[in-house]
Amino acid sequence: MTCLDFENRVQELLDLRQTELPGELSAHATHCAECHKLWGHLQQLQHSVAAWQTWSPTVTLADAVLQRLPVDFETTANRQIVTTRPACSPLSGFVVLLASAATLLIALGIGWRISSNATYANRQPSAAALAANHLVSVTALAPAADRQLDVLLHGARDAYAALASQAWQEVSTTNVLLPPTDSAAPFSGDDPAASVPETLSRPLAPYGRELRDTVDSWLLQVFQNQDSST
Amino acid sequence: MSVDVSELELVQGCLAGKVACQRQFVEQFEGMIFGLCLRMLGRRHDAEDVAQEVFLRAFRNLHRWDQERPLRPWLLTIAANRCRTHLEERGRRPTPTDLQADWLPERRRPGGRDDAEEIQQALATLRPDYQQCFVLFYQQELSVQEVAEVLDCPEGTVKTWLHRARKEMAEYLRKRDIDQD
Repeated sequence: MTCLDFENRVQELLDLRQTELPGELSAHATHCAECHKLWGHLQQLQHSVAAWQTWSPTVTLADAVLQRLPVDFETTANRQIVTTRPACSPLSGFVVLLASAATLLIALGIGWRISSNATYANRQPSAAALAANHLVSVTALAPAADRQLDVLLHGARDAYAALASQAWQEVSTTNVLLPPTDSAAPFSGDDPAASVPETLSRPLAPYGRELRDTVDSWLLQVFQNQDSST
Repeated sequence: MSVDVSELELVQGCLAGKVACQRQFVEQFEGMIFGLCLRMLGRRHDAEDVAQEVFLRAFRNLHRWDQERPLRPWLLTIAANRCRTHLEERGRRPTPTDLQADWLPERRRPGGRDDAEEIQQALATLRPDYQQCFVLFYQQELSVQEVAEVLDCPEGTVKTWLHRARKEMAEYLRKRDIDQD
């Protein structure tokens, strides 16, 4: 048995209000000076506590308490009256529910608007839309010569580049996982149409098919217009 | 622990506003409550004030008492909480040293030692939760389980507090003996 075991078991005995050491503990205390001393101190404490706990002070509280009691009850009663809420009408619950729902909807609307403004705070008129309008206006000219065809093709390439640039901006804004090196606009330059790649880079890949289909359909429309005009 | 039928009738009488029942209620438990407060607070004047507060709170909340459970631990819980609050408030105020343990002078022996005084002084050196445990276990003679119910904490915690309280008090008494020798 260790000294820690001895102390723990002695404390357990005292928890059960036992004051005699069993044989095993007694044997340990006989051979261990520290534990013997500890047991002596605890016994002294028990002895002192016996005198302390039997002393009962005399006091008469009934008069003082009963004297304060009516005042105390009156105060409590008044407090209860003050804090008592008026009875609710049957419709009040429904009105509260309706108001809560309206508040929630307004909050959601405000939150959505703030979120929308934050995402597209710097959004400018769509370059793709401008290019598309330009393409439509050029197409409406109904070109009849090769020079006009070159103008149309140039417009189509501009539109392609603008669409690609626009798609890139949207991807950069929404995809926070893009590495910093990818954040540079791939179509920047004086002549965006000149830098349109044959295949789109990785972040734009999901948009590539859609972009090509769109531009191809515009080009087809341009050629059809040219054919019909010539 | 079963509920004493007379206690139940006494409580019902108090709730009905019968002054005789209220007086009997106070007289029946004032020794227990005052004893706890006095040993916890160490000053007779404070103990009387707090004991009165305990009874006023008990009357105010008597309708909340669970009649399936005994009344004594319920009252001791209120008293323990009030004493703890008072000790915390006292900790924020300056303590007049001349009022320490003012309930003990009549028991002092000139040139001698009084066991109750020694214990009370040793008790004052403990943490409030150790004090509560010690007083409830020894003075109120509650079991560890009952102390845990009154203090609303696990039995293991009560045992730990009680063990530490015993050890610290035994050490305090040992040092006092060395100083006096």
